Amino acid sequence: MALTIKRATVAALIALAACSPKERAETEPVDAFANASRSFGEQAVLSLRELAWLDPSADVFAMLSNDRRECIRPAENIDTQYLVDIGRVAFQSPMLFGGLAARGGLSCESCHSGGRDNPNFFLKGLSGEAGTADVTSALFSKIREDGVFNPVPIPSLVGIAGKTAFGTQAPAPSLHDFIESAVTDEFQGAPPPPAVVDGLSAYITHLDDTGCTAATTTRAIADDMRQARRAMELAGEALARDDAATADFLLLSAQGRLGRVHERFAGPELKDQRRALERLSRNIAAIRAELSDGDDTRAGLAAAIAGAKTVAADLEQHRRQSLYDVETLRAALRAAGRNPDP
Amino acid sequence: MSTKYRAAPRINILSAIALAVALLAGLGLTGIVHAAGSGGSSLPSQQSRPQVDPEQSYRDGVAALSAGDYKTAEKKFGEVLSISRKHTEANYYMGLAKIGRGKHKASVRYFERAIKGRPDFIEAREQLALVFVTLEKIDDAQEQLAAIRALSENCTDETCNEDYIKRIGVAVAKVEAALGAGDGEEISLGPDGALQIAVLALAPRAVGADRYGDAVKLINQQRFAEAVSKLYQAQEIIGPHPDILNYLGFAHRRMGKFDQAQDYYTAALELDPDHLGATEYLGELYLELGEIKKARRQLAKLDQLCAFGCAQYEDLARLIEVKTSIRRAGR
Repeated sequence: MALTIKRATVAALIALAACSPKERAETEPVDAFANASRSFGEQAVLSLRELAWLDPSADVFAMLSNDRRECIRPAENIDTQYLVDIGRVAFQSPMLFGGLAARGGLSCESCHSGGRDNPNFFLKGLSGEAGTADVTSALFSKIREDGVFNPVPIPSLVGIAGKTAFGTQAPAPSLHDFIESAVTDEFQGAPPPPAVVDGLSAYITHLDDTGCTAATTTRAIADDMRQARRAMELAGEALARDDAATADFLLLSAQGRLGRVHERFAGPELKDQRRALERLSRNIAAIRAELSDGDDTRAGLAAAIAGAKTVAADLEQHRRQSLYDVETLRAALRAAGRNPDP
Repeated sequence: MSTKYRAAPRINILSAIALAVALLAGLGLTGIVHAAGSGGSSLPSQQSRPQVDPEQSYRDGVAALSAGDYKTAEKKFGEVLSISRKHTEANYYMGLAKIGRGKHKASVRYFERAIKGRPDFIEAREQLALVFVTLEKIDDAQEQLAAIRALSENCTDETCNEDYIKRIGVAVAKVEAALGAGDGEEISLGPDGALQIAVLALAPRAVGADRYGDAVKLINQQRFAEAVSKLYQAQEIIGPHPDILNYLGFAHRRMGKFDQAQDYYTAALELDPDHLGATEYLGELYLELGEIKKARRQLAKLDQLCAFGCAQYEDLARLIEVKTSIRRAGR
């Protein structure tokens, strides 16, 4: 009898346990991008994608608070400027790639900071020393694996237009071919629209150190929001040129750029700002859907561009609480167990 | 390692298993480092609700098992299984913990679950067979023995190497010896599977992350069977993790094992309901099964999760579009 009661009690306890599953803690990623700090819901303090590929032993604070300055010569005419600007968007957009690279948020800019090298780039499994990458690794590529871990220093792209072969381990005869191969072969991306490849080629060709002074610029809300807005404007120009595929890519890239801004507006007190960014991005997604249906998107696009200006102005009002503010960033790094003062 | 001991029949086979568990404890004293999780945030949660980190519980369980603290091991694996009920390794180790606690009968269902999750889990089949012998369920033990033998007969893919065949041979010999053991007869325990697998389980998390990285590379090279093998190893070290389960699902799907793929995706989503990869790939699985409505549901979920766009949404949307176009053309 006693045994029966005991069994019944145990069974009841088991049933009770089954009815009240315990809350799960957040999971730390296991993949190549595991260096990025993870957020704890609304208590998010530091959840920046780029932390995943920054050498943890380097000056992470400096890298997160500054951008490497892009040195570029003026375009020769409006058409070239259009391509250069598309190229800049594509260069900084993870959506150019596919596979693990796109999912981890990597873009050309991640390795070629400001169009140059990136001595602080480090991705486990891909890098040897900081600033190197194995471009013949199956981590990102389906076809380039050579069976050897052979990372090479990431080169600067400034001034490479005059070269006759492009790429160190998988040389291509032209910059255009190299870009196409890098996107589809090295990073498993879908073949980009022709204007995007042309744009990347134009952008890289125009990178030029001449007369370029300051090495870095401070990371600013205005710059990031301007880039998002510019991507939308370019989408409008692409549509005017009857190039819906390029417009779609640019709009998706604009969404991604807003996501980067969103990451820096962490914390419960910035909920409204995050929601405004999400709304803006959802509006852009709606424009993409209209575009896909063949609808006229001009009014929606104009409204989104205007909306971006309004959102940017509000974000500026809250800059001090965001990770664009160096002191807030410093505190967040400390809270996340990273040393902001190496 | 080879351990010999004098056993009375049947009941001392219990001791043999217990000894295997005890030797596990010995491993903990040999300087094998049990590393804490690497990197990531160490921020304390602001939530007051109790939290279980299945990965941490798993590693705590392995550490407890290796230290001979079977009660804690039982508790920790219980925590893991409360969240990830079908987790193969956690079930296997729970079985060992039960044996350590002398609950041999109770260990059966955990070994059975481990085998259900992975029919070629030699160590689990071996332990189950030995437990059946101790419980005097000879027919069941014979059945496991036959299943272990069949593993070598059906072994065809890239992972079927010399070591694997050798391991099968060791298991067969051990079970046969247990079945044939008589009073006072000496039973030889060879390199014990439980011990070998424990060595891997005690490796630092970074080793598991490396195995996972190897698996991702193999998947990109379409070498799915080898990738699965690496993912099992990663899972052995890291414990229940949605990234690993997601790629196990992916690799099984690409090998045409749709039921197993679905189980893995489901397990990944149990651990992280918002896992983008598992949400996307489950959608792709539905597409392969011709269930476009369900695939669209996964796409809608990705749309919710990806306010700023994401590759997972884009890829699934493109595949749905292709599939829909093919269907339309076929009408």
